[in-house]
Amino acid sequence: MKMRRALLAAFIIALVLIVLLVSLREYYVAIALTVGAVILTRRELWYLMKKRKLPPFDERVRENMKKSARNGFIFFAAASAALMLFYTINLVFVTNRHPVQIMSGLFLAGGLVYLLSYVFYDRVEPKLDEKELRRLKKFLQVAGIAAGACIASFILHNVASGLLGIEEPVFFVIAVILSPGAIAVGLIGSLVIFARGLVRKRLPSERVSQGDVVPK
Amino acid sequence: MRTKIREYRVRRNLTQEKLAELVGVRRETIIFLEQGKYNPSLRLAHNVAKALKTTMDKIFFFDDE
Repeated sequence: MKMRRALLAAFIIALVLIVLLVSLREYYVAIALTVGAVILTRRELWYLMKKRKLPPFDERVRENMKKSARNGFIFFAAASAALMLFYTINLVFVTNRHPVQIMSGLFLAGGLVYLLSYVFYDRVEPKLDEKELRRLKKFLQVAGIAAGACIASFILHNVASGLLGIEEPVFFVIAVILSPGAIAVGLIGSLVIFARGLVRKRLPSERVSQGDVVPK
Repeated sequence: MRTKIREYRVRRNLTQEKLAELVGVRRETIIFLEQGKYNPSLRLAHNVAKALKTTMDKIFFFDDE
């Protein structure tokens, strides 16, 4: 019952948001939201079509929902802070594109990656062994720390430049070169491990090593 | 934590999906339980044992036991 109510509420909110975005002519955001919502509720929709009822909202799912809500809040808070920062400092990019377009794209891409990772983590996690899970965590930590360092460096660079009246170089290099590089390394590394887990058919416990005796 | 859920399930000719249905959880929860990657609540452990027609102490073990 709770699950049905939560899904209904999410559906109504998504519908209102999409109507609002279409009326504002932000079509690409509306499409991204629709795709994201379908991916997020993919399992529920499939179960609903197959069995004509919603899947059980068991204790593990409830625990994961709590974690997901927490991570989602952290992500959206960080993304909103970054966006506000870019609006405040009126950053000029070397490309001809408007900074808002680029930031919106990044924001949506980040959101989509988050949704995908949440939706598929259930399937990926059992197929990765302890070593790979540790590596995945490290890559994600690198990306997260680098993203935080990027925002902090932007603020510190602007504060230092404003106070001293000179173009401060250290935080600028961290924000523009080092942090994006580390984010890229973290994201690519984690995506590679994630994709490996997604395409792998066997669970680590089912993998047969060379020394094992295979029963006939 | 280690479990013998898979062993008992196979013995009873149940699929993960069927067991999930009997217990009232998702199939993924059964996968996690079988691999010992999820610590169930007392109620869930009891329900799994009941569905497999056995007792909790026969299917759930801790590493230090």
